[in-house]
Amino acid sequence: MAERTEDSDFFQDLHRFAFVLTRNADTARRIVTESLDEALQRHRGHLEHERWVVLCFQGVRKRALANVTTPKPALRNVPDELPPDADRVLADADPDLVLAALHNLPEPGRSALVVLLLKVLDAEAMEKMLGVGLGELSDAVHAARLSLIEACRVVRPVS
Amino acid sequence: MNARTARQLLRLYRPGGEDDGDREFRAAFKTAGKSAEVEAAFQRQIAFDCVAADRLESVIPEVGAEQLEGCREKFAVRRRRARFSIHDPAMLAVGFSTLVLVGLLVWVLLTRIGGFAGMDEAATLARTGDAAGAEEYDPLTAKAGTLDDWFLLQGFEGFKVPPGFEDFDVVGVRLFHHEAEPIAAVAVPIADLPDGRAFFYMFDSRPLGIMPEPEETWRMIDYGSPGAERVLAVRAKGGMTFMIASKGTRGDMERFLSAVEARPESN
Repeated sequence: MAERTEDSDFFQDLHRFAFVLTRNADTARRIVTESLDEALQRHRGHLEHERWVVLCFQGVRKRALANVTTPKPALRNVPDELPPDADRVLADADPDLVLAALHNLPEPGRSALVVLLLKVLDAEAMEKMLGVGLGELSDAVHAARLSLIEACRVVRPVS
Repeated sequence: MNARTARQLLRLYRPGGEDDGDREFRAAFKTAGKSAEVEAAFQRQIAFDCVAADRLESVIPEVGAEQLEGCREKFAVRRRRARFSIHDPAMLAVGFSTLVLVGLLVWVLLTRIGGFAGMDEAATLARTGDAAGAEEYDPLTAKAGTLDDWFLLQGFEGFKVPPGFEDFDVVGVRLFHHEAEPIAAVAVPIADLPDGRAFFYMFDSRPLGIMPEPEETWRMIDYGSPGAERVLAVRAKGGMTFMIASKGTRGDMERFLSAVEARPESN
């Protein structure tokens, strides 16, 4: 769980996660600082590094989503598999569009897919951060991938 | 791992290979490998995730060194604090072990301080003596301080009660043997003690190894059981040991002895 245990990686990961959720570097810095302060205040004693990691990511997510409207899942009858052109759709999409599309995904799929793509937390840590089980988490991530593909396909530049 | 669980888990696979060494994922790979369809879907997912991750990384700005340094400093403080935290399970274990060790040492010291040579033998002797029935005592009405002649006639030399006990009325006496050693026993009604009576025992200290120290100092032994407490007060002088056995607790005996010392002429 959470193999990236070096402090520098950990703090970088927190900032990257915060930025993707807020799309604002200043806001990301602020909420990371606030989350660290909160975690330090709540747990003055010893805490395993893995629990610290989850705790800090939870704090960042809570703050990042505080003023963000979370859309309801749009997809119904979610297919079991990604479409064959899934990677090409993303490859053709503008990175800012990908970021915006990610930002508009429903929770908890949005947060889960972000930490997965940033490769910062493993499955077990994701479950703990989001407070969901494996099945729900898996379904949410899959639905988030499909929603991201569809969002990027809609505004895909015509070639 | 069944196919459904494998598929659920594989959807959480990180595209950089970070999960390749995980036991659960290895089992999921194995399950997925049995189905070309599942394997193809998994490869499609990896391809998608790699592209999505690249797209994402390209728009995430670098975090300033100053900001990272601030974070490191916060956590350095936490680590210094946590290193000696009492909430640390390791520290709790060490603390608990230390307490147990200190408690054990204190207990051993107190036992040694409160104990003396032959404590267990004294308790055994008292249990043997207490078990005697009333018929085993020779009825005798006398003062405890006058029994030396009676015991001398029985072959026991040197019977003498401690100061303050001379005027206690006696109702029975006997001479018995414990470990082949003669023991002088006296039944004494004492209203101040639980059960209203006590037994005095006197014998040569050395053969039985019952030698409380220092001389002429009362030492206490609890030799009963929960709910049936018995207490023994033991002291020695001039190579002879004198014991008072009674029902009750150390507190009962201590109060009784204090009263005798305060009023040595009382009965």
